Amino acid sequence: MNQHRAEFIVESREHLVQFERSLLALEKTRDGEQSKSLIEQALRAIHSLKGDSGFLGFTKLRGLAHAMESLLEDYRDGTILPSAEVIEALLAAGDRLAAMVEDPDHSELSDITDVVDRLLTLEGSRRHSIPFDIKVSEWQRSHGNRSLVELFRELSTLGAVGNPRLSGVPEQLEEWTAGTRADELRFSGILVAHGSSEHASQFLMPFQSEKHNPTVVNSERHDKKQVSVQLTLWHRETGKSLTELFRDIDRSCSVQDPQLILPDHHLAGGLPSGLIEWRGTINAGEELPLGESQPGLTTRISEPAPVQTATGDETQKTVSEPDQNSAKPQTAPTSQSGRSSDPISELAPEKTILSEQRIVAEKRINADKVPTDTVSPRETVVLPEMTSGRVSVKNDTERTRSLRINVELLDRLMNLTGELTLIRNQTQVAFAEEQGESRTLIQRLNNVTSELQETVLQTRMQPVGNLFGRFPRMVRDLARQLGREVEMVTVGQEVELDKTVLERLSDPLTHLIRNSIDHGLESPEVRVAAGKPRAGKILLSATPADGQVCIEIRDDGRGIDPVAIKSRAAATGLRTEAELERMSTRELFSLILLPGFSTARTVTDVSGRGVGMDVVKTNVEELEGHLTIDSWPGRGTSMVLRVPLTLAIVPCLIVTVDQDRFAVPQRELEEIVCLHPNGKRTLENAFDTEVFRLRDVLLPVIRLKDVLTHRRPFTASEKAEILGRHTMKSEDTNRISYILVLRSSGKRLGLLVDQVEGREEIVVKPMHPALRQLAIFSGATLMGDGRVSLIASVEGIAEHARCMALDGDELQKTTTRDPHEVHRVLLFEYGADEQFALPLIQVRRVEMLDMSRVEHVGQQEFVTIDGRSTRILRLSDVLDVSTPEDSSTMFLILPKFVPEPMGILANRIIDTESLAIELQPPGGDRGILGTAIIRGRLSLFLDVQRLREFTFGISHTTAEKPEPPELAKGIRSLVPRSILLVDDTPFFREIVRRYLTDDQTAIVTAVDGQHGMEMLSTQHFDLVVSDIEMPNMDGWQFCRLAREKGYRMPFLALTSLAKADYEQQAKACGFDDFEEKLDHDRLKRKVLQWLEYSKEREIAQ
Amino acid sequence: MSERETLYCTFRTADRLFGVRVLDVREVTTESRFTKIPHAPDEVLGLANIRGHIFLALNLATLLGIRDHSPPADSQFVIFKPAVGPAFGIVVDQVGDIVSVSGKQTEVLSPDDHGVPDFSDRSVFVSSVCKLDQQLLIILDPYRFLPCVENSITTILNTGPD
Repeated sequence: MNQHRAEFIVESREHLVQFERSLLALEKTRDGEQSKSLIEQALRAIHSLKGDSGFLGFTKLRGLAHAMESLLEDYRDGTILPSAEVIEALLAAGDRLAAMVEDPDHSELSDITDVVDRLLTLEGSRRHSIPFDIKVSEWQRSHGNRSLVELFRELSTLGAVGNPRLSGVPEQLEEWTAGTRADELRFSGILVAHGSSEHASQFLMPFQSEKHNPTVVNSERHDKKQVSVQLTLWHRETGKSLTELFRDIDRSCSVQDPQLILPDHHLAGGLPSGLIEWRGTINAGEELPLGESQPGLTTRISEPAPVQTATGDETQKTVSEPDQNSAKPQTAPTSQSGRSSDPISELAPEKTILSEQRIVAEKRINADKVPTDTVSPRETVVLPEMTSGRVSVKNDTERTRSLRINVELLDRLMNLTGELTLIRNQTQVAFAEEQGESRTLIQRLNNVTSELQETVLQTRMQPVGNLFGRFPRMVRDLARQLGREVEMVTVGQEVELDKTVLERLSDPLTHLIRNSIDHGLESPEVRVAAGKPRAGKILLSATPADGQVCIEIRDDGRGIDPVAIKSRAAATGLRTEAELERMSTRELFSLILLPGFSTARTVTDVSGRGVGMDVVKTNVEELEGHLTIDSWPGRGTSMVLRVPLTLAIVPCLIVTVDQDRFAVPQRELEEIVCLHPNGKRTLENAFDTEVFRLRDVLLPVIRLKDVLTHRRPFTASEKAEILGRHTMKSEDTNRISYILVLRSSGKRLGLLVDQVEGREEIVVKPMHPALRQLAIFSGATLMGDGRVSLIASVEGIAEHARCMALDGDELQKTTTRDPHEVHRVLLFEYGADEQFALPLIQVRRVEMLDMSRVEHVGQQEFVTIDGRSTRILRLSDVLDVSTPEDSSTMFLILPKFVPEPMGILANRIIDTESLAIELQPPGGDRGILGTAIIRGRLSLFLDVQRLREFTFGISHTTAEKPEPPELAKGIRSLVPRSILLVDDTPFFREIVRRYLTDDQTAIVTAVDGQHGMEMLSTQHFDLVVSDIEMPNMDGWQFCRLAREKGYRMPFLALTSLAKADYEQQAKACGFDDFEEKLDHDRLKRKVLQWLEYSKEREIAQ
Repeated sequence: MSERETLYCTFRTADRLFGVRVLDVREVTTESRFTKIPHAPDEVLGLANIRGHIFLALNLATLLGIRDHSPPADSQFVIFKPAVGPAFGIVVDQVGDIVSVSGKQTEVLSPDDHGVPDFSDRSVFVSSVCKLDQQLLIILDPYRFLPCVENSITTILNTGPD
């Protein structure tokens, strides 16, 4: 029973979601057929719920569901659309059901009479609708012969008309063509009065015909059969006029009780749009003259044919056609209004759908007589709009029917996989030395484990659509409550997130959306006055972005006014004026996340108390996510939430302090700076905090050790004491330490650790409940060696150390730093000891190399690649590095910008990594540009140019002077020359500087155009070589300015940009030439040419 | 006093004999690799990995206010059942026998009230004393260990010295 109940709850929730979704869609649609299928959906859902609760004996639940079902039942035929009131009542009842379902055991106690009464009242009003059948002629007589359209319009002011039908269409069809008025013409249907039904019946009374209720037309005798023709479709197929059709019919058979069946609604707009059907009864022996004998009609007719054959003696022949011309003759006798045909033509695509569905519906009516092998017309009629619609509906139901698994089971699976991962890690450690068979076994274990882990993670992934699905209802209700018109668009429903993350996102998102509607969007009047569309737009989108998901809530409302925030913050004393002045706009916006902050003038039910955003912030931070707010006053606000895909497995950096290991989540890590003993770059003191100059921006640095040894949050005196100790003690002289540059809720800080051990995917286990108060840790994990490590909480550490935050402007400068500074770097190993790095920009490609293909010429090794004999460079031959063990397959890295075919041999390609390269000067080896710590390992950056020189035995001097003979003019080599090199990227600056330096050339470097200008004014240069894309002042501006100031020396533009596009601009700015950055030989040649030119000109002057 | 026999798991720490109800004990292991937790109070020895699960290890000696006693290298880790508290145990010098003690032999020291105990007096952990033939067996109430740790953390954060 318990289990049943649990299942019942889960299933009922799903039913209710489906129910609500259908109702919301129903509210939007104005199309009868569509609404019919939506009502069916809603009915199915509520019916299943009713059945389940009945089965389990929850009578109250059953009763309420029943009431809802019977109200909805009335609209099942699709003739009348449920009114807003009905939908509102049903939604409210659904809410009540949802509440009861959560606690079914106590549902018996709940009082549902109010909801049920409401449903019953509505149902009653529906029941009291007035069937009518009025003589059109009589109405016309009393209304001055007004057209039928006027009648329709009048009726629709009284209420909604269901099952509209024109009958008494003249039996002798010549009368149609003759245009004589048919006195017998009747208009019948059901009128559901808007207001009092009395008024409606008074209106209808005088014209009611005494004939039988025409809605009952299906009582056919067996010797008769009913025929119907879908007029518009018929016309389109045959191109014939209706007159011809009726003439044909008249000739071949006598028709009784002919009627025109009109589509359901929109009577106010004149004659109904959509399908018009002619229906009549003929003798069984007779045939309509439309069958196979009519060429051009055959295909259309044969499609619905199964229906015809299937219904046997009670044949119902359906011929489907629509078109506007056919509508004319048929309205001609009753209406003089020419525009009656317009709505039909407007809705052409809909008509086809309607006709098809009618066939289906009719088939359903006769279903008991239809043999099961009958081909469904749905399958034979190919209608793109319809089929796609159907398919998606089908998929929806199939998805909800997929296997249901207990979340606990999944969690256990997840845990077990985590443990398996740990065992895998341990095995790798234990068997690291092994060779041969066990190695491959371990590798397989490794692969399978990784795959398993991935798959298990996937089982927890759910589309955000599951969450987003809740919001349309909320938005709708809120919009009503607040008098807004809101149009909500959701994008990226298919993006997947871990279940836990998704669940915890619900509250913050709900709140943010509420805020958007309440504070963001203006009322329709205000919007119109501001020249915006009445309905405000809310966009809810999810996009994946490197291991995270970005969820954006954007509105086109009034936006947030930074000035209002400022004054509010100052007024409430949350921040001082001085602090506010220093804040960036984005930081100002983030103030609204503080508790007690609300710029809303009035507190509404929905929001404005200034509590919510604080909750949002807390929630998001718990998820290790970030929230940024951007706003454009008058144009809208965008709130972007970034959350991790999953919380369970997190890539972490493993660091040590005094032999103790700690894991630092990598998503908070921006970069790692290696602090060398006796290096130029050291920590400095800024009042009470140590700071580090990171690319000229001060980074507050906390020593993890200090944090660990102080149990209580730092006080001012402690900070001073700590700082004093570090200043006193001349730094540990021979220890390298590392600064992890971390980002935590918008702040950047450096965390000083002893050692970086590496990166590991760890399975996060929550901190022991008794230790939750220790804020500097966010959890624990098991390491490869089976020991436990603690996961550091960057937020907690920053808080503990009372770390001062960076100013927003500085932060922005660093986060929006020149993209050129971030390089993709190829990491590889040759010997086991060193990790090498090469910027991808210098790599042509990497080849797998079967060592048996290598040919030997003396000491040299070659392999044929792309038809060229390529020289293999073993790094151990030219550098003082370890040699690898022999292996049958190696990798060959083919560098770019090297004229001779050569490849650098690698034993293992580790990965590529995007990073800002901060090179440390090399330790003497000339083939090395410098070193950097990447992924916790010291990595050697290769100087490809030098390596090439070593390999091919090109001497340093000859290699760099391959100048064309015509330039060898003798003078140049005697005179020292100076070059100004302007490049913002230290890495490129270093490479280019190395390219150009020789005995006679002095290179002066500058970091950007502004700096370059300063340098120009201090000394003379023979040549300026400048990068284009630089901060502060770019190359274009720099050159233009220099020319304006009268500097005449040649300017050479250096760039990684495509040449042709920029050549013109370069010339226009005053550059003399243009060259690609890393092509050593060409650059060198260009530089020499221009130096020569410069000298010659000087001499000439 | 009831005549009922109760089984106790006994162990020695700092040459004293202690016991807890066998029914409260989940298992005893020899795991001795504990990851120390900075900021945690002295009673906390660290975290241990027991077959893929993380357990919090408390130092019994410190809990009982016995100063300067660190567990020997061959110490044992007594893990309690979840009912006693989530994933934790105590580290003792040496686990002894399981003894059966009748109610007659037992003298209850602290009443089993569930108010907030005063952890500054470490005798709150002693629920009763059994008069065994050779020596006294001090029966501990493991349910109070974790609250004591939390209490210590709060004290440190709010007022305690560093």
